[in-house]
Amino acid sequence: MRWSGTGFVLGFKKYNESSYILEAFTEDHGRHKGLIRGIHSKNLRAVIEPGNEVMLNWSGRLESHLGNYTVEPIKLWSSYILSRKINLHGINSICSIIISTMAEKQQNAFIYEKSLSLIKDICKNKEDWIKSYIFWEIDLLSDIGYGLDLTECAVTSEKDNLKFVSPSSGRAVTIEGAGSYKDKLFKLPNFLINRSSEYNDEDLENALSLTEHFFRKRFYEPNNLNFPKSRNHLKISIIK
Amino acid sequence: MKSRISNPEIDKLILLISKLPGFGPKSASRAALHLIKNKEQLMVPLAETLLSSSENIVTCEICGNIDVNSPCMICTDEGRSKNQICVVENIADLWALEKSEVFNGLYHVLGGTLSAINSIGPDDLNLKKLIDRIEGEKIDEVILALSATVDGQTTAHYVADTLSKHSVEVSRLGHGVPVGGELDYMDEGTIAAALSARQKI
Repeated sequence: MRWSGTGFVLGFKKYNESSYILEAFTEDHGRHKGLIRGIHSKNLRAVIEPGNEVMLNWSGRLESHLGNYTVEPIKLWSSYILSRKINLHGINSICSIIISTMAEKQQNAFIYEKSLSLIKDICKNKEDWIKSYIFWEIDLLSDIGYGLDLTECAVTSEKDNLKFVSPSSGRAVTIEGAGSYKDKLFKLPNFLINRSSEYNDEDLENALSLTEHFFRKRFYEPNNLNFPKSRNHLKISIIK
Repeated sequence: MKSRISNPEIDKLILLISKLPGFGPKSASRAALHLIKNKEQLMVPLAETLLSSSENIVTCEICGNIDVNSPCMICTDEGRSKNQICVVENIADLWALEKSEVFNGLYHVLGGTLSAINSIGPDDLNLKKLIDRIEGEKIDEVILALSATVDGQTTAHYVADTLSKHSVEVSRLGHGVPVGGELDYMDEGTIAAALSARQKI
C-alpha cells in the first residue's frame, strides 16, 4: 500500500540508531505514524520539527502496519519561532493535544484545516493568535463530542448577558441564572460570545481555564491520560 | 538444526557487541572475529580497559559530566573561568564544545530537553543542581548551548525563565548561517533567524 499527501509534523520518537517513528497529522489520513530512516541527515532533522508542513509518502504492506515514511518539506514553520517562548509553547500544546485526542488513521479535515491555519498564525506571530488558539480548543472539544453551548442561558434560556459557564454542563449562564452559585461557575469572557470584542489578559486566563477544565474532566481524566504539560506551560507563560 | 560453527561464549560476545551503537549482528560477528584473531594486541587490552572504565568512571556530582573523579577535571581546573556556566543537553554536546577550545568556563549537563511527545518535563532534567550552583557559587553568566530545535529552544526558554529570579545574565547560542553555508541552499527559517540576529561589520 502507498499513499502521498500533505500534513504537518506532530513529533517523533527515536526508534533505533538510524530511525525515528514520525507522527504527523495528515490531511487525508488523520494522525498517522511511520518509520523514517536516515536521522543523521542534518536536512531531515530540520524538516521533522513539530509544526512543519510537509509532503509525506507512506508505504507499507498492510494498512495496519507501521510502514515507512519519506518526507519532503513544504514550509518549515517552526524555524520562525525558535526565539519566541509563548509561540513555542503554543505549537507544542497543539501537537500534544492532537496526539492525545485525535484517533489514529481517521481523517478529520475540519480539525486539520483549523490546526494548520493556527500553526501558520502562531509562526507568523499574528496579533490575535492566542485568541485563535482558544477557539481552536473549543472547536476541538466540540469535535470530540464535548462541545460548550454558549448560545443561551442554561437556567433562564436568555440569549443576552451571558456571564458564566456551568462546570458540569458546559452551558452558558446569565447573572440572574447563576444566583448564589456564581462563585462555583467559570467566568465567561465576552470575546467567546462576540469574537470581535475587546479582551484582556484576565479574559485569556479565564478562557484557558474554561477549556482546560472541560478537556480534563471530560476527556483526559475519564481516559486516564495526563493533561499535556506543554498546555500548562502555555497557560503559565500567557498569565505572566 | 543447531549451527555447528558457534558456541555460547562466541554467541554471547557477538550479542553484546551487536548492542553497541553502529553494530548489527553481521558487523558484530566481524568485530568478534577480529577481536579473537588479535587476542593479545586488542581483545585483552580492550577487556581490561572496559573493566577499569566500568569501575572508575563516575558522573560528576557538580556538573553531570563523566570522569574518573567527582568533581570532574573541568570543575576542579583552576585555570578555567569560574563565573560562567555553559548549559548543555548531554555529554556529547559538552565534548563538542570542549573540542572547539573556545569556551573556558564551567559546564552543566541537563541530561535531555523538555519534550511534549516524549512527556519529558522539568522534573526529569538536572535543573535543581544548576539552581543550587548559581545560588552557591559566584556565577555571572549562564550560556544556554541547546539545540536549535523546538524542544531545545522550549527548554532554553524554560531555563531562562527559571533563572530570571536570580541575578545572573542568561544568554544563548546564536542562530543563523553556518560556516560554509550557501544562502541558496538554506531554508527560509534559518535565513529569517540569521537576518534577525545580523551584526554590524
